[in-house]
Amino acid sequence: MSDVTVDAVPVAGRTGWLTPFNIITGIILAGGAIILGIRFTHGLAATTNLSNTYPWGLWIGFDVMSGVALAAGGFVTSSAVYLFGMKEYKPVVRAALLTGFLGYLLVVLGLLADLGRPWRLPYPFIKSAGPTSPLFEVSLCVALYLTVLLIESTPAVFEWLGLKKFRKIVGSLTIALTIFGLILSTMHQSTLGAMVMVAPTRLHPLWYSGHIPVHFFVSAVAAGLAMVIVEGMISHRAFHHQVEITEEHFHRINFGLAKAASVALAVYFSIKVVALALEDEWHLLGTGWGAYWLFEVIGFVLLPCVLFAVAFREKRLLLARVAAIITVIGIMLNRFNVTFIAFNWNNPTAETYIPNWMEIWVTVAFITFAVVAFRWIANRMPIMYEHPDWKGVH
Amino acid sequence: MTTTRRGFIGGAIGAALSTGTVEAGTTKHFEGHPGRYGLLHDTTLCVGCRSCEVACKEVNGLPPVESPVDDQQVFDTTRRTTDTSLTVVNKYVDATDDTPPVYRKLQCMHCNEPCCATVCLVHAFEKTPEGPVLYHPELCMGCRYCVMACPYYALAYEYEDPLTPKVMRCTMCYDRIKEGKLPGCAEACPTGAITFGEREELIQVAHERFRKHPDRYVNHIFGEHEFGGTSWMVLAGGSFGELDLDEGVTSEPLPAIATSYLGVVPLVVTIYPGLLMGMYAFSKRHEAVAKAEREEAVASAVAITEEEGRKKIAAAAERATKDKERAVNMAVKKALAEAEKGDES
Amino acid sequence: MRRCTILSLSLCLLLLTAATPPAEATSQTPVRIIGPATVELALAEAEGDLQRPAIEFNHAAHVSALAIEGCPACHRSDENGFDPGLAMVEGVEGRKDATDAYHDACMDCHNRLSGEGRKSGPVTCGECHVKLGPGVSARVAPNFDLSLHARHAKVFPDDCAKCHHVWDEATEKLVHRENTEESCRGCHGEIAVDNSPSLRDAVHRDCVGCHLERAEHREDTGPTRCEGCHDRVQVGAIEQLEEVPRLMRGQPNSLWVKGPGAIRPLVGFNHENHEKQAGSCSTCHHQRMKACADCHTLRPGEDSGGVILERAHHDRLSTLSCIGCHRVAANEGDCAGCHRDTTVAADSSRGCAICHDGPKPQLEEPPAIPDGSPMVAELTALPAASDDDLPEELTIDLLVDQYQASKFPHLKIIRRLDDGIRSNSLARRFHGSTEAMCEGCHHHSPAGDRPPKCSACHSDEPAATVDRPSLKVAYHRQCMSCHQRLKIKNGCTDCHAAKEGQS
Repeated sequence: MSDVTVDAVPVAGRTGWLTPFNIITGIILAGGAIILGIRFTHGLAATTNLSNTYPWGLWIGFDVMSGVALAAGGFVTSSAVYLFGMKEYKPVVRAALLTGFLGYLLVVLGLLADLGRPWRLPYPFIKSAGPTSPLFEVSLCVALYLTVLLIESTPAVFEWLGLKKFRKIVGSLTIALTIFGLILSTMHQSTLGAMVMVAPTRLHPLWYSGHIPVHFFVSAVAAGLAMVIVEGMISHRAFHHQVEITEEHFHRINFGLAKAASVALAVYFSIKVVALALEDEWHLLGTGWGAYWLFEVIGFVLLPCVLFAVAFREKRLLLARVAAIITVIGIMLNRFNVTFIAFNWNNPTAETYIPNWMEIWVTVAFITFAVVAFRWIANRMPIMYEHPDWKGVH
Repeated sequence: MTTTRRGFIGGAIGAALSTGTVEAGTTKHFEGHPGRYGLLHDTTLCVGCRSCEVACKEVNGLPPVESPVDDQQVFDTTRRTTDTSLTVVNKYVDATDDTPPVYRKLQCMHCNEPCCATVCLVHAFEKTPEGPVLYHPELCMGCRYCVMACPYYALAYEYEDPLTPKVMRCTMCYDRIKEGKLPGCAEACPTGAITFGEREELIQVAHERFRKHPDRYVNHIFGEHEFGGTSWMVLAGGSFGELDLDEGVTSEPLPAIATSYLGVVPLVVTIYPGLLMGMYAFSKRHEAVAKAEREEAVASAVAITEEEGRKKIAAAAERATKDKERAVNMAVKKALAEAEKGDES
Repeated sequence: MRRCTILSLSLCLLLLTAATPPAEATSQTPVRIIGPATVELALAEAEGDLQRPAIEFNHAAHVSALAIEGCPACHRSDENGFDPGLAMVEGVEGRKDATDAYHDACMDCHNRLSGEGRKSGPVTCGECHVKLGPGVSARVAPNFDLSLHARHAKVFPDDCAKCHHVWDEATEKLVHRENTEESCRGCHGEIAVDNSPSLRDAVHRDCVGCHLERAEHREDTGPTRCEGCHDRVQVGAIEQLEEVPRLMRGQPNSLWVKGPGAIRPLVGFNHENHEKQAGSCSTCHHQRMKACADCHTLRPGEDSGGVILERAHHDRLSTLSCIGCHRVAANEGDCAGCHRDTTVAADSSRGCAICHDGPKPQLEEPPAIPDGSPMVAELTALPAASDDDLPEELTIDLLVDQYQASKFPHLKIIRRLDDGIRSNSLARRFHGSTEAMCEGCHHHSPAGDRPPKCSACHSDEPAATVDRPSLKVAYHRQCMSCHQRLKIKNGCTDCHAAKEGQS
């Protein structure tokens, strides 16, 4: 199957730049740029519904919190393949790493939009460090991990450019980078959860726990696995002409991911129940918030766990994909809850926060940017297939 | 096999992270800088005149109050501090036939162990030895984690400012108290509901008031110990819960809860490399062993096949030889018979 | 495919319906009110722990259900009259027998009534022995004050023996002794002791028994049902006499309050005046009709209940002590301005001498105290117009800043205080002179003609010590707190006019 052309030119080249895809994404991106322009000329008040009681909204809740969780597929798959020797997942590693890299890029972009003074982003490292802050640890880890992901994505670039020497060098770094990536990911995924530990009076007790870092890490593993399935679902179809592996192999990969996701979700569900038991919060389940918590945990953790298990057993790919979508939504819901829905649940002024259309547009624009970038890269570089010169190598 | 590996990893991570609160491992305890200042807010004396709001705005050069101070309608809603109002007064209990209304002034509590200072990743907050918690806008990058973390909802942010937004909060008039003056609100309060002085002395004053007027106060100084204690302490005649102050909370400083987890981070950095390299080596060895077994299996299968082939060939050769012999014998017999027959005729 | 569609659609539906988390529904469990006619039925404590919850017996419901049978359904009458004890457990000893007795009586009756087609009660265990959470009792104790006593005395004039008795050991009978009448509480306690029934039984027997008897003879009488004495509203509706005649029990009109071993000058006490103020004798003579010093000795003794003589007279927070009761009286009405929740009385410069102004205690008996002592002073009239000592109006302008100077109506305030004092004998006893009135505002300074100005002790400097407020705070707190207590207008511009251009 090695007769696939290396420099796959997008089919759209025949009709020029104005494809429907480009037009729609163009509008979204242009709108996003305009809104960001307003943000930097008129302040956050002009483009967001943030308030003094709700300083963190959709941009932090989605771009930072959910973005990091959903980009976890990178470290999960690369660890599985390179550290634990599960070679059958090799075909999806590059796509997962690219998703991870773009996901973390999204995080940084989201931060640049949301921070009051984003040009001061390097301050903790160059000017004044606050190492008691969980956010310091998160920013350090994210910065390092973005670098790791960047380097881990360079093999495809060097293969594309034909730079054999560089490709050899970065190839030899794979194991070290994977280990480093897993270390960094463990830390910052958990610490994102630890960020809310400082405010036990502001986060609803059903979501607050002394073990919230563990909750965040395990849910990130599940989210990453689900995201690999979702991303595979889309790119397998979009780049079908590039894919080299058999359908049967692809299905096997998906079912393997589904099995792993089922286990991860089962673990997550159990530790959520343990958290209830530890603080004796059973009586809270009877309240309105308790019903909402049950909705999140049973509908978006237990349900996909079961669906994944059934999908794996019955070998039903569609069911696995549905479960993956539910998991992704569930993780986003959980991060939103911890950031601005169940957070401030009892604030004295009884304020609530709902993102406005501009915040949503910018978030969609960021996602669009990632999709466009993924498409551009995958159409040119050996992401969905192996470069013939480097077949079978690491 | 795969489940075992993954399960093991998950368990190891869980074990490392679920150590929960990592003790500092020290027996020392810092009580706070001696002689630091505080303020005592006696809500039984507050009449809701809002002179403190007016004075605060004046001292800090902020825009004046929107509604006149005798406008009672402003108390219909529960307000909070904003980027232009560093302090507000709320009415919490309406007047009854026998009791006057109860008000409380909200502002930064200048905690002994401030959450904002702990969570700031550029260390833009500083707990001074004099008591006030200071904010350094020249370092702030606007992440607003401090606004998230404050349990008293005291911080505000300048969302309207596009390029130089700052966190806005009460500063305890640090410059004024360094000069020996009173904070603006304490000076302005006509009924003395705000008393400024050394924190330890104010605690004594509060106890003296409890002793002198036992019917008037609930015998508790809010802020003496809550969440590690605050510089701004509150006295009340009824429950503190009515005044939107959490009662019965721990004396453990909140930052300790947040930073206890961070002790796990160095453990991850130090343990993971060895652990993961071990797993990698294990999986590599597993691969090599599997490969060797595979090769052996292939080799033995080839050998068996070869052996069987050889046997088959030998048997076929034997059969062929036997066939040939039989044919030769038959031909000889036939020839002999024919020869006999020729002889006879 | 179809299954997948259904799944996705239902997921969307779930998301839509739960788009926003529901608001926390704070369910308020209503407080459970235990009725005034509810009686707790439980075995005596001595019988050990209860296996099932005690029963809250709805007496009122049973009275209406057993209207035909009436009280004899459960209660008896003996030679002493109506017996509040339950007939079913009379003479029954021991846990098992008592339990059986109750069960037999109650369940039999319930079965019988339901057999007759009448409204009846439960017969199963759990329906009677219901475990109910804590509740608020609506039962109040009846207040048998002097007014009610007078109304009873009118019905039985000169017949104190009807209710008041003591146990005579010699004759082993209840007899009446003149001028030794006590309240029932004096002898009857919470539980029965030998032949002396508990307070509850004694009162129900005598009071309710008498009421029942009179009701039978259609005579005007008091309540016969629980609610009549124990329901808050009905108790409040009991008729109060306008003029309560003085209850004579051989008490003096005035006396010296003495205590063995006391060294301070004696305190004169006008018993007659105090009778008018107190609702009943037990207001002060809480347990027994004795002098305070008979039980409350100088050092803690057997009967003193841990309260020594000094505390019995001076405890500010007690309603039984002299000072405590005076404090309560001074916290009301116009007195509240200076007195409520302040220490002005305790800080007074005249100190103990206000009350301790009698002869020094000596070995011999002091001279008899004349009736009507101690005398309540007659105040000298205030000047019609202001003079140097009592200025009409003062202009307070020391701290003029945001507001104009305040015009302080000094004499008007003094007149109002004076009117209040003049009309109140307690006030006149303590504020016998005009300068005693000054201490309400001119505090922490010796009484005299010319008390110091506020600014003499309260400094202008805002950074005053934490003990003594600055002048601005002193003005506002002193004036505003009094206005608050007396419900006088208290706004900023009510005392000092705004300056032009200021809000």
